Amino acid sequence: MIASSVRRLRPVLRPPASWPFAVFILVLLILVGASATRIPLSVAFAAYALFVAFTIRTVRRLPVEPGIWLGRRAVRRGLVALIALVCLDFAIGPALLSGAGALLFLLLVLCDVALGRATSRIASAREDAVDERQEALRNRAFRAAYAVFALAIGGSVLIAYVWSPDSRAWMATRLSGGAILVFLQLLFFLPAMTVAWMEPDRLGDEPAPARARRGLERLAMGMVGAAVLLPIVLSLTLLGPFRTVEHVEPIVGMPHGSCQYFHAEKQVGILFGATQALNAVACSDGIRAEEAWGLNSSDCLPSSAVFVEVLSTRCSRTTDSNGTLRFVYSARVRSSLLPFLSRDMVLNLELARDGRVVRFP
Amino acid sequence: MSVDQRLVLALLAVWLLLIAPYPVSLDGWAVTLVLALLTLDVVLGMRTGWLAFARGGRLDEREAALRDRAFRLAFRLAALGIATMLVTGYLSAIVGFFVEHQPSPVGPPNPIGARGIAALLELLAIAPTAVIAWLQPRPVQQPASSWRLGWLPLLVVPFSALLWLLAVNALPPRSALAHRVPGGLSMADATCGDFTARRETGFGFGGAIRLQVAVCWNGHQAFAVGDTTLPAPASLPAEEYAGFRMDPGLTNCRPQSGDSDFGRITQGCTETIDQDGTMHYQVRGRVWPAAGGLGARDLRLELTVTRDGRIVNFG
Repeated sequence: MIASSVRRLRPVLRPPASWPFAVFILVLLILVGASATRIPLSVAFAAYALFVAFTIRTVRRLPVEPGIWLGRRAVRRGLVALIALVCLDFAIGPALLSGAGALLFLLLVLCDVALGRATSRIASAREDAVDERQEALRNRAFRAAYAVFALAIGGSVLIAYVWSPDSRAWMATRLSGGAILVFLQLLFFLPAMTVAWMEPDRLGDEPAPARARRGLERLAMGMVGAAVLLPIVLSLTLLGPFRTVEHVEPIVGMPHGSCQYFHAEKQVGILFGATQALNAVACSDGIRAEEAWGLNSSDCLPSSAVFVEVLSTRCSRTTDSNGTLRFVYSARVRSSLLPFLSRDMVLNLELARDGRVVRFP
Repeated sequence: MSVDQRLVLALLAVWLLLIAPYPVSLDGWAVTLVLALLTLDVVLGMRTGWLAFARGGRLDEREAALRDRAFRLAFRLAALGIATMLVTGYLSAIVGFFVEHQPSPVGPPNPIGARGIAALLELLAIAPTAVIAWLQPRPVQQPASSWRLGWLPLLVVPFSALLWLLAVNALPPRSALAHRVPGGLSMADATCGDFTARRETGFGFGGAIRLQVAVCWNGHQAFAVGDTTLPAPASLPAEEYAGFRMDPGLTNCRPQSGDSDFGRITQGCTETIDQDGTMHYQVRGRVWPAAGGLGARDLRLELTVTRDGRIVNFG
């Protein structure tokens, strides 16, 4: 009786084919929700790191076989190209301990996990654990990897050393930055990368994995996809609409006539984005509107910037002949992960001499 | 133990000497070690039939299997060698500080040094051949008639020595400069800066002279601080200047580790302060390969700072 119930239940519990997409959407919704409820970034980041850890655990639970997807040569080569791009980014770009560096590092870890699966980890397998075909492939891969490693490491170090004092200084900077990670990546994973690049497509007549394992594979694929795509999707939210909060409040008892307190916050991006803030008091006496505080160049700073770079493009305060006060703070927000993405943000305050707010924010 | 294995051990010993943390400076002997390594490389290459560099088509099954295994092991060997280099690099800094009383290296960045580059390239180039030589049961047999011609590759050793000597002499000397104002030293009524420079021959594979000086200026004079052998400035009370003792961390006229690995060096420093209060600091040195005085070069580094801190000449 119980056994037949279990048999009936099993198809219901089997993860459907759309699970990878569902996992991704779920994680995205959780993070967007976290952003809406203003959960601290450190908590969101810890949650993401935990998710990555679970992803790695799930992937490692699977038998070491590439599966249909990673069995394709094009996919494996794409994976190798992605690893090479991350390495290149580390060699010339962010330090490991920077925000973008930490994310790239997580991406690299995930790629290496996927690489292990794609190659059935034959590069580091014991000799009795590989068959004749794998042994031949591994041998060829090691020869090629050694040549690439020697040329890449020896060549780049030698050229940087003899080229000029500047290139030598550059090498010193990079060695204390992300380049050491690239070096370790090449040292430990280059043979596997070469195997992934060289191995032909897997044969289609290989025995299909059991149904339950297929479900787990899809779940793992979804988790890997979510972990890799999430930072990219969050970076893309920089293109979304601005979210603005504003608040104006008259202040009584100020000696400079009629004064008002102005508060505005303009946000762009979800979790990965920037916030411009303005907190100021300006007064008007019927002849002229003037700043009391909060409208100076030292106030043109972003109140938050997460995985973006904020460059102040304009910060000006003027009072025209009509006595109208104008303050403009504009900034360009550029994504750290996708540096080709940027948005311009502007905060305005225009106050007429009679105390009328013409424009805000 | 076979002859090949003994050769590999000799290669390892010379390589370890090249990266050894002590002595901190090889005083021109690095080139001798590199040439010894090159000789052993060529001998090992010949005794293995250059199997590591051979194309697959002309190898029999046993040779191909040996070569493939050697490359797998060479990858691990390279990792071990690089880890060893990192450890000896740190040990070298410690030995330099505690045993030879050398201050921590300052000045333009030089993260790995010519000695380290030579050791790294040697490791990467010869590791597969060394593994093949260690593993192969007997040397690859050469036809008797080609025995004499077979040793021709050894000519690469004297040819390399000649090429290096020419490079050290023909390539223009290069300077790397760095300065920081204000520097690490503070003085009442004066501003101080740290100046460091390195002038090298052979694009880093010859010797190098070094300038390291802390300079202060007080509107009346510019002067060096930290070397009591240099003349005292007239604008500063003698008792105040006497407070600044000999401090090699501020001003130092000795070459540092890495400067004299590939060439022997002598250098001397002079300071003059003219009537306008402008300081002229000069380092003159002579760099030459270990073998006699052949290929010696004279090098010079100058620093001129006015009494108001303007750098007139540096390099």
